[in-house]
Amino acid sequence: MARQQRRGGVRRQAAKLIACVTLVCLLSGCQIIGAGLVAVAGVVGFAGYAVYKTGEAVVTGVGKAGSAVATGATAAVSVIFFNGDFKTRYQGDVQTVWSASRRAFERALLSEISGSFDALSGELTARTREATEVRLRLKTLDAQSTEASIRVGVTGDMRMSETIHNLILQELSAPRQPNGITSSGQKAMP
Amino acid sequence: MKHFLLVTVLLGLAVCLPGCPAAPQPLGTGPLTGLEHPSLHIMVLEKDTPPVAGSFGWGYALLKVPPSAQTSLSAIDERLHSAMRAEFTRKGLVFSESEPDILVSYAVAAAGEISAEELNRTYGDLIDPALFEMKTDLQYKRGVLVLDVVDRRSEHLLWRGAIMAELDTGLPEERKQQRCSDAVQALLRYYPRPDARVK
Repeated sequence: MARQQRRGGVRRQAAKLIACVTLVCLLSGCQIIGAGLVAVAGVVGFAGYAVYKTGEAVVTGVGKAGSAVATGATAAVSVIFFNGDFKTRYQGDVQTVWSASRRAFERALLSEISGSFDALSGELTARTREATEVRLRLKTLDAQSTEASIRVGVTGDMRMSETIHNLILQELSAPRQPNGITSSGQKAMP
Repeated sequence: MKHFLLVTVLLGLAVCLPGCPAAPQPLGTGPLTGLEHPSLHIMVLEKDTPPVAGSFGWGYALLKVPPSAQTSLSAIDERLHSAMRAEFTRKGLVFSESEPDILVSYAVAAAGEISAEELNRTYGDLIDPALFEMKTDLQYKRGVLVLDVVDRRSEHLLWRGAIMAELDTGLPEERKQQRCSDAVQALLRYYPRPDARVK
């Protein structure tokens, strides 16, 4: 009985000691404890990762889903270049984007332009003057947007892909006249 | 027992009151070309230390720009790759185009925001699917540059660093490479992980 009481007393003393040392550490600015707290806070959001940060300006915060809208983020065009593929999305269905892309290929003076599309996907291939293959793949995302992947050559070329991408954007934004001629002077393809 | 407690408390005070000598210092950056008021956010996988030997190669490049931007994406890509290549080489890694040990990716948001989930999704099947299951909801703000280091074999995201700063929009073209180099250098100062040596 006396032993149990002694054990209880030691535990209480130990708890007080830990609380005291922690308080002293925090008040004195001990940064091991401080960093530990940041790490613990980080682990809550990112299992297995330690988080270090300065300022709050980098992120809008953890657990604030939908904050992109709340902070007034502007519209953006997203481009991913990965493993030689230049991926982006365009406004418009597959047919609209495919037709604009074909006009863009013609404006780029590419040769051997060929391809096809349906309501779900499309493809266009062509060759540069140096016989490098240019391949465009389209996939419908919804009624108003289409995912596109541009690849130039075997390993991919970001600069040339970007040139094709810019031409497609121009064709998509060019006002169309009733006779099928775009403002860039190209005859619209069916 | 009382003596033991007294000695322990005194030892604790002696260590902590002057500040712990081995404590990590707050993150910071030196002066940066064309960038002001930088903030950093760095995540490091705790179970694997990011390597400073072996080879590195390029992962993805994710760029978010305003629809009307006249910016050349490939020019930004070249500047950032040049800066990253210099910094990782300085750390002891060797660039390799085929089957590198680690993949280095970056994301830039000149418009909109980038979510951690979007970054992870960009890898497709190249990273451990467990990463997709993390409920982070983390949004990186507009103007941010994020660098990722992924172990190609284990498919683990080892290190992710983000820097955000106010951009000097009037910076001449010839100084933009310096701005990219400064931003990348400021981030990779904390690669493999922030420790007591950095101030």
